[in-house]
Amino acid sequence: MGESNEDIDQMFSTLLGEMDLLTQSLGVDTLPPPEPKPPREEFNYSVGFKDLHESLNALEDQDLDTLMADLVADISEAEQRTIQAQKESSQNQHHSALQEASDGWVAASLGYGASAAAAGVGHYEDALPPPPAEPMLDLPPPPPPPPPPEPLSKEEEEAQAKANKIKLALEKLKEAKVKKLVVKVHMDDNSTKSLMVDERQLARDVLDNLFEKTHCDCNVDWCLYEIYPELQIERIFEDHENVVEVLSHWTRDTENKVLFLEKEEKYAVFKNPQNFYLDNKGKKENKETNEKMNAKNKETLLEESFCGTSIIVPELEGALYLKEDGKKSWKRRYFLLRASGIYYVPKGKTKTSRDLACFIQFENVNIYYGIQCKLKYKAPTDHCFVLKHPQIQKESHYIKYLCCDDARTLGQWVMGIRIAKYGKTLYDNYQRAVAKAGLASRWTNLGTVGTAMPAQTSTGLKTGTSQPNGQIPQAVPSVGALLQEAQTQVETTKEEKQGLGNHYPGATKENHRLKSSLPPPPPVRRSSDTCGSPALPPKSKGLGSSAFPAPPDDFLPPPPPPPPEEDSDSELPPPPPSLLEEPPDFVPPPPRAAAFEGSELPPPPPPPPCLSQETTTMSSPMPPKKPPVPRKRQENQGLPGAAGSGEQDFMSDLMKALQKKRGNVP
Amino acid sequence: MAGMKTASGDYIDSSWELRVFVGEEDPEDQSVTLRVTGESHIGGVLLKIVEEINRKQDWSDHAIWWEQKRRWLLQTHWTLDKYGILADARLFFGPQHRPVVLRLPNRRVVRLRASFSKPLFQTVAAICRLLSIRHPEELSLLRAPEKKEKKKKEKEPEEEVHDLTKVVLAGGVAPALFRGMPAHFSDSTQTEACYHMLSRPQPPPDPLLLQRLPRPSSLSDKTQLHSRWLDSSRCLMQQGVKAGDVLWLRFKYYSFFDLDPKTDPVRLTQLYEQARWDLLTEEIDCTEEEMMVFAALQYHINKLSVSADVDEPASGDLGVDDLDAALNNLEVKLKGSAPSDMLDSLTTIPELKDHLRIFRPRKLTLKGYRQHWVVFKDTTLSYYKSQEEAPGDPIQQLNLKGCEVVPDVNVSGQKFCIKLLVPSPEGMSEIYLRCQDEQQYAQWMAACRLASKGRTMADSSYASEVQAILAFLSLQRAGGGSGGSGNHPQGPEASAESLNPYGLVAPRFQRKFKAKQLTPRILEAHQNVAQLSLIEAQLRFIQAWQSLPDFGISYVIVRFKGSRKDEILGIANNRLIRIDLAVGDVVKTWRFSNMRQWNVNWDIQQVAIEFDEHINVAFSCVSASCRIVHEYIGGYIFLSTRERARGEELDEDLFLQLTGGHEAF
Repeated sequence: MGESNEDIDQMFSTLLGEMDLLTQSLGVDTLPPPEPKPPREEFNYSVGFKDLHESLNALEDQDLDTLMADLVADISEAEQRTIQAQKESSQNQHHSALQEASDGWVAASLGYGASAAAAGVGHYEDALPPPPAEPMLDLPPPPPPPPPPEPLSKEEEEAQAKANKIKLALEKLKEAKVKKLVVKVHMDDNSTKSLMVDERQLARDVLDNLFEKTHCDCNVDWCLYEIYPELQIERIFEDHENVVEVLSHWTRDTENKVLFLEKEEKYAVFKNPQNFYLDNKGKKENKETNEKMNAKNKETLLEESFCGTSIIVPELEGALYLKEDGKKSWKRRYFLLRASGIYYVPKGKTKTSRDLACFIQFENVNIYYGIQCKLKYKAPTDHCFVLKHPQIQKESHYIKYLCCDDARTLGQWVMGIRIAKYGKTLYDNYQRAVAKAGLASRWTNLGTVGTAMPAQTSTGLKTGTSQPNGQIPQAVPSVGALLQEAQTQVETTKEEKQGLGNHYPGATKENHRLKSSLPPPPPVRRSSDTCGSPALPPKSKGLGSSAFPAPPDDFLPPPPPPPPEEDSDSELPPPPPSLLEEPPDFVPPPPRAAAFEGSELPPPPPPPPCLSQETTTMSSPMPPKKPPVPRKRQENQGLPGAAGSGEQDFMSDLMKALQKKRGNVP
Repeated sequence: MAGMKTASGDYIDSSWELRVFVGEEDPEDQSVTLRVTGESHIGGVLLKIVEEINRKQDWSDHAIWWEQKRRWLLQTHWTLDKYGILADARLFFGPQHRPVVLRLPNRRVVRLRASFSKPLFQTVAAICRLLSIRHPEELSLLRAPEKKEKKKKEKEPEEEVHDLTKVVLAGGVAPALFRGMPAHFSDSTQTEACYHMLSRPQPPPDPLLLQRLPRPSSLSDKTQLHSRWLDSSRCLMQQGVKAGDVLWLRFKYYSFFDLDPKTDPVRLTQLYEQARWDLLTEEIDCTEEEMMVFAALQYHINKLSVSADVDEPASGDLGVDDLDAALNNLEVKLKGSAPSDMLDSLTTIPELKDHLRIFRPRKLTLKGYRQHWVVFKDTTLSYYKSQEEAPGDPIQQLNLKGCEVVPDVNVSGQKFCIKLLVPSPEGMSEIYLRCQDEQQYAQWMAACRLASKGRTMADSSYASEVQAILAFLSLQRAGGGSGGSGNHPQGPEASAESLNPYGLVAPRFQRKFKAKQLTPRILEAHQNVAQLSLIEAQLRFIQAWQSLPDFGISYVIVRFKGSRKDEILGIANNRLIRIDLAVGDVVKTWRFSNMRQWNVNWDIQQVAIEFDEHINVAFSCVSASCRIVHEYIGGYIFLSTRERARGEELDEDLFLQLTGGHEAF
């Protein structure tokens, strides 16, 4: 039972993935309308199929800000402009309903999304106590082979519909629990972008999202940056940090901001490890030799420091000024950095381990740069760093201020503390960032900091040529972990560029398979261009708007975009309740998804003979194009027992699984 | 054949008499006299000796040792002439493998047979294979320190010696696993016990013993140990080791390759033990805070290994299970704040409600503890004036997520307080909860700790957390009550739990703190590691050891060329460090990655090293022979050439090439 359930889940996820693919391709196809045929209404329609989350993203380039403004104005004055917590999707729906009033042309569609969602939940409640109707249907023994496929498929559909509903409802519930924030991110050109961040997203996801939106060069220096104007402190978000969690510590009336900008300091240690690990207390001659360290030595140094059984924290010690609690006076003390914390040498003691006194340990504090402490706190220099518990937002004697003699020392301390605090994670983050930025930058960055452009383009070409292979993931030659990572990265970006914002893990493979069966040449070209050289904004403009960022790696938590289930649900045209019970109608068969890619029209639902009535009602807004594939599917439906039909049809697989399940139920 | 003679009895070939002693270098031994010529092959001589002895015995391990030249005559096809043996040669016909007594990194003693004729490198490899320790190249043997004449003190109790001399290892392939241990250990209960000794952490040492152990008081003391390393390219016999001698087996090179707890239980355990003893004997220094973490880990490891002994006599898959469990555990932990499961919300979250006394330190108030009705739900602590007002608004509500939880406990004083430092936008607010008894304290403490990590009491670890706290309280009762050294086991249960905190920390902390001061601090550190599995905890211990700034540095006193005073040379796995002998400050660091070449002038015992950019360093060795320094450098260079792909295969020639080279002189 459990196994078959899993089977079904698997099926569904693939199916829903297909749905998602469909929706997305719809979205892309409509943006550059290939034919004048799709009416305006159709366009709205496609937008409407996404839920609020998705649509907000889609609308980004048009006028998300105005949208947000309207939205905010409508909801309440109390909600501050920068952050707006939307704790529940019901609330979301409420918002979208409000939006409906304020925003004419998206209104209807959004409304639909919401109502569809509501319907889904409603059904789930019905379904929770197993409806008596189902067992009744089951009781009649398995349909004999001779009868036409209709009754069987009906039954199947029934069960499938139920499973589908449950699945959707579960997803809804899950989604409902996910906290979301709309975050206003300040760009380096003083503009702002608002984006929705859900509580599962890490800074890395948000960065990827921003890369999509801004078409910057994606280099590893880009970071999210939080600034506290009140405390005059700021810091770089670590890529693995949960953004919502950090932001939830901010107070309601905060002036804090999130910035999106390039900071060389972010991964400085990985570009020039010798400045942190081999620095001999700032001796001049050393500095020069250090700069000259070759890439291979850097590599070994990094490996030594970060890839052993335990990481090595740079040896760092020296006199720093410590601000005395509650006073504007600073005391000079000799501090040492160890993996376990910062220590100082008490008066009259030596700096051997046994004499050290612990100043602070890193578990409960974050490290910030202090800004203009000279002015504010009479610091000896402006090179200050600050340690405080992330939840503290106001001045307090629990905030520790330290002041270095020069910028170089400051950089070393901040980096050293980050290494001690985050350990290997920091290196992992960096490698992921490198993979994101492009294949070769890891190597070239070591040599030429910040001028990774040529290298990136060259690798871009490389990935471009390997694209044909990339179509079929199984055929991708394994050229080392990093390369592969980057490869999958490229693949995912390609996917989304094509508008297949489908990140359902189970579905991705299927997509590739299907695509390869029906080659759609234009998207491939486009994708290889855009991902090959991420620094070419014009090409990917417009496309990026509707796409969602890909997860940078397989082991990151589920990607930001709403689960495909959601899409498939809200994508439904105004579904009459009866339709909800007939899943095959709105679950398009896979081959057609691909076929549709090139075609100009949304796919009409496959009309199994028995359901022709519903189908016609449903496809009324759509052109009556009928692809040839459905017949094949029908066959399979008719012969559920026929195992190993060479064609990997989802529906038949699904039915098999369902049958298996049903066989176990009584 | 040698020994042709005329009728008158004169030898007509150039044969002569060769006397060979039978036995191990003992002139009292039986001897045989053979008639040989310079052309006699060693193999023939061996045969003759055996014939002469005329005793049924397996002679296959026997070979001839030439005492004056200190060498084995192992080339059976060589002639006596080729070896240069004349009639005056003192030759001994004895076994190549002889028993030695090995003191392992965990300070336990094993008797086993080691090859006295092969280069030490191979001997160590064979020993490690027997003990099932992978990567023998990281280990080596030291001479035992010379015993200072026994003081009037009572003789140390006889140690248990595990005898492995009779264990025969099947040649070639890696030993197969049988009942969770290498097959050659499963023959008898003795060997099985020996394997348990090898693969399981040992209980903490007696604090009194710990205090008596010699401790280095300065850097130059730390150089003593490193003067005792044996030479890897020569055999034991050549280095004057005799059968039955005590040798130390230690990890020599601090570069641990591919530490895999699943395949390496013995290696991991021995490494942990070496790290532990390094810390306890103050061979490596650490700060107070670090020592508390080490102590907490030792306590935790000991507790787990004791319970493993009881629960699972056959420990075989224990490690794997432990690791898996630990990984699961970790996963749960990592999820932390994320909404792990929608079912979470459906199941009810347990609450704690009770009368507790609360104290909030504020400026300008002298109020002490006050009784409140306190409710703990989710990760939130709320308190009310009284139980009746509970449905209303609490006086204060604190979300403990991210807070600091500090125990403030004195068991003998019946004081069970929890100090909470709760972060808020304004700063940290301090609050003390005072519980009535251990039970109540353990429950609330566990709840606070979980809440600080964003977990609720619904979390599966709650019960074990409560148990851990109770266990630790009983430890404190035992440790604190008796004031240190004396252990008064209170029943069977207490004996397992009531460790002495003094056995967990280096002696200087024993002097600095009273046991009852130490225990709460260890308890505090323990809360961060309480969820680790045995293997995970050992790994954590090793990692923490490796992150110490002084980790992995072997010290030698040297005299740099052109310098008038002795200095310390520190040798680590990636660098050489010049250290001021008096102050202990690092003067200069050279990295192996910049090293061009190094040369040893054996005549004047000087090591000369050339680094990139024509930096030349030369020094003579004072505290140890320059052979040891040379071998350390070469050994680390060798270790850095290891690759995962090569697997277990060792390039012995390369090792000997890098570390040897002085035989020629």
